[in-house]
Amino acid sequence: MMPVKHVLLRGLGGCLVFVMLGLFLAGYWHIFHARYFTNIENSAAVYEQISLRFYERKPVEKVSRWIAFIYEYELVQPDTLIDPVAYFYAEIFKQYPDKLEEWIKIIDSFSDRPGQRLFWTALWLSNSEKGREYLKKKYDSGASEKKQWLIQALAQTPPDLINIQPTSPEDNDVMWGAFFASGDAAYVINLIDVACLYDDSDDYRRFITAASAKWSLAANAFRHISVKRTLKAEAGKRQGVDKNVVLRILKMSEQPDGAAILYEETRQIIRDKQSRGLWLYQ
Amino acid sequence: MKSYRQNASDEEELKQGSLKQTFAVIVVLLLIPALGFFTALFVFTDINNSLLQQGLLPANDICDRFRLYDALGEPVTADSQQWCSQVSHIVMLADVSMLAAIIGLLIPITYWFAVRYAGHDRKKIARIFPALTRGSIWLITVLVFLHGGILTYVIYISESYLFETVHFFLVGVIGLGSVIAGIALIANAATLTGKLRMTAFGKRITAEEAPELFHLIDDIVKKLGSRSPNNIIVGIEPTFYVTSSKIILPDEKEPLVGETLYISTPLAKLMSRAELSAVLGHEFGHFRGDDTFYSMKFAPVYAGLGSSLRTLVASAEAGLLMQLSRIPAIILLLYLWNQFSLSTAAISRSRELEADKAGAEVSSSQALARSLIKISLAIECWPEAIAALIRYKQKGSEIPEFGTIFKNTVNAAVRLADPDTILATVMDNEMVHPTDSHPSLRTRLNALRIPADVIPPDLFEFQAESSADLIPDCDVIEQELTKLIVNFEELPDDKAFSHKGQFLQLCYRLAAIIFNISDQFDLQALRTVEGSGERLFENFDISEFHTWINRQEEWSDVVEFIVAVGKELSAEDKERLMTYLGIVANSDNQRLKEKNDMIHAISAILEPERLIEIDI
Repeated sequence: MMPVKHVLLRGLGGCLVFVMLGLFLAGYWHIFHARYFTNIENSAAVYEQISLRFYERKPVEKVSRWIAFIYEYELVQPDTLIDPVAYFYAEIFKQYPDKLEEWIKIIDSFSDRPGQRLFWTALWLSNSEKGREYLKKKYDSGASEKKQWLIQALAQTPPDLINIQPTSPEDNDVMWGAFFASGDAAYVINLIDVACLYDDSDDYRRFITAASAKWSLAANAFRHISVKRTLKAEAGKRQGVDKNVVLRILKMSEQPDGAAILYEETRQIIRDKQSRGLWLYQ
Repeated sequence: MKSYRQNASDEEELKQGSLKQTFAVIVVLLLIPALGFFTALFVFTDINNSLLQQGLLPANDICDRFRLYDALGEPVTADSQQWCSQVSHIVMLADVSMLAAIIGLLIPITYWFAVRYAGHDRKKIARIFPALTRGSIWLITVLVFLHGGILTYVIYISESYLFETVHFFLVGVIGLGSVIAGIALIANAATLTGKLRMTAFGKRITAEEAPELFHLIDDIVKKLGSRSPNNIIVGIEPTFYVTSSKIILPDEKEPLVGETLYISTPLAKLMSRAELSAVLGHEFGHFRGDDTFYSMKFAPVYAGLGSSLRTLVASAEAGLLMQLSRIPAIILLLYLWNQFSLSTAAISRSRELEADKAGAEVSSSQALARSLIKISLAIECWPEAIAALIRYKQKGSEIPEFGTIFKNTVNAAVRLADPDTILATVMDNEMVHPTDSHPSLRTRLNALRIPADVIPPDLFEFQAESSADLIPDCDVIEQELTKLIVNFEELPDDKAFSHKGQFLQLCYRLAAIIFNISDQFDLQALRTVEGSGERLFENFDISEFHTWINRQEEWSDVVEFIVAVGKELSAEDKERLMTYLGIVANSDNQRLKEKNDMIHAISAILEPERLIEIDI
């Protein structure tokens, strides 16, 4: 019978060996396989960096790869990116109807992956003949839970985004999605209008829509020269309070943290309102 | 000779050194992975530090981005792709090194625990080790490839990174060595099916061919309450055994299945019937204890480890560089062999002692003891007998059946050495069995309660009437099998050696004729003649000399041979020959005229111009 002391010492020694082994393996993994970003963040960042400049050079030949990339890197997250990305591709589909067949094939090849609704929405929004044909085909062969959505979509005419005024921060994102695909300044002007119209609104929803329009305009004007040009042109056209709003956005777009300053200001206003008993349940 | 025995204290040493061995093997197995890992660590850290100093992302992130750009259709330069490819190879070196280290740890540790878990329980050993060994051999094959890859890449990366030059020959030779070894191991591992087949130089005999032997076996089986073997084969290997393995025989198309008894005719020739009965009783004792069943389970493990070792060691002359990646695998296989031996040795020994009891039961302890001593001695003489056979072949002379060569060799050994010396030599030997090991002779005699000092002095005087008489046509069978062995062995046929051989044959034949002139056999005289022969002539073969003595040739048989060989002899050879013949004639101190006349006659043929005067 081995003395208890020896058993404890052996057990301790064994534990020590395992701890050291574990530390070694963790160190090995950290050195050779660690990333600063998780894969999805890294791939989403790179995707956005590349795709959000589509309107500048219109690299149509790359769209197939981008669609595949979205599926392969699982960039589609439910309830987040669906709408702006759908409008982004809807704009592209609208602009290049002759390429639609090729892109539909790509979309269909990933029909077993999550995120089908994203490109179905894009096809519906593009209001194209081929898009509707494909959705009809999907309706005829699709599963019951998707049929409901497909029948509603096929029964409706898609909205003409350019004539819609945003009423929520999500609507603003949709405008940006459409702008990055088309480069059409009308979408930016829509956002400027919202920013000016509801700048001092007492209605929380209107206020937050205007605030998000402002900080997104500042942020994108910092990165996209065409947005800045549109802001400058609109500043020249507008008068009074509206002009001041646009000039402030322009000023903020001069600095890298301008959007963050606007965002912080928005939070402060909300806190002030809440301290006065307003917007408590938003 | 080493392959036929193992020091009895090995098992104890094996037990004591087992833990140390495990650590030592692990250290050896970790050397190459550690080299790979730290090389990768050094290079990778250096690259990352350099990037961070330039305000860039670490290498992995940069390459990740390049990959994403490529996936999105953005152009990535060939240089960037190549740079990332090199980075990924360094990461792969670290990964492969880790994998090799894990496999290197896994095999010996698993084996070590398996040995401790199984202990000396035959059922557990039979259940665990065959599968574990097969798996280990496949893993070792993987390990050889991994070690080769690691070494190759370490040299490549070290040279190109530190010195900006690569010795592709060096890299190629090491890589090639591991690839050759790996492929050979794969080929070997693929043949390890777990069903062992043994090849035996023997001939199957039936009850019709050897009724007396079968009758004896029936009696023994009845006495022991054991069962009869399905097959009985007689052969010229120096061993008796029973086995359940399939046996492949030279003249049988299909392997023998079922339980087989192997009887050695050269050994049978040295034994009385009582001694043979004791040996057969011992073998059937193994049937009684289901030993053959377990031997059949253990044998593939030894066979698998042994064949893998031979495969790896086979190209030892290939040079150190080509051997480099396979050295850890060789050490690991030796370790596994030792660990498995540790588990089975004690069982094997206790089963042998049980079988010895059975042998003593059917005959007597004395008979078994005598047979065991004879077998031990015979095993000692086996290599010498094979060497004698080779010499016959080289000389191109007619080859007698191997049993006779063997008997002559044993006779020579017995006559030349003191019985006590012989006993001391064989006492600590362990007899070899095809599928397991036996305890030392001393242990077995002790178990039989036969003290070594009561071994009768006439033990080594082999009787004319041997148990081989139970096997009709024994000599014919031996002759056939001897031819097979001779054809099986690649024997050189050297002309110079042949000339020397003819000279030696002349010495033997003339010495034998002169020696046989005496009416009485004088052992002391024989030893004098043998000793002088060994002193005067290089490669003097006592066994062959005995063969010629036994032939009892006449003068007329040899005259032509003296004339033919005499022409080729130098003056020095002739003088040595005549001196030797003088010693032979004088060996029994009987100054017979016949001998004197014979020597003068020989001298007249060899040197007609100058009759050599010899004082006998």
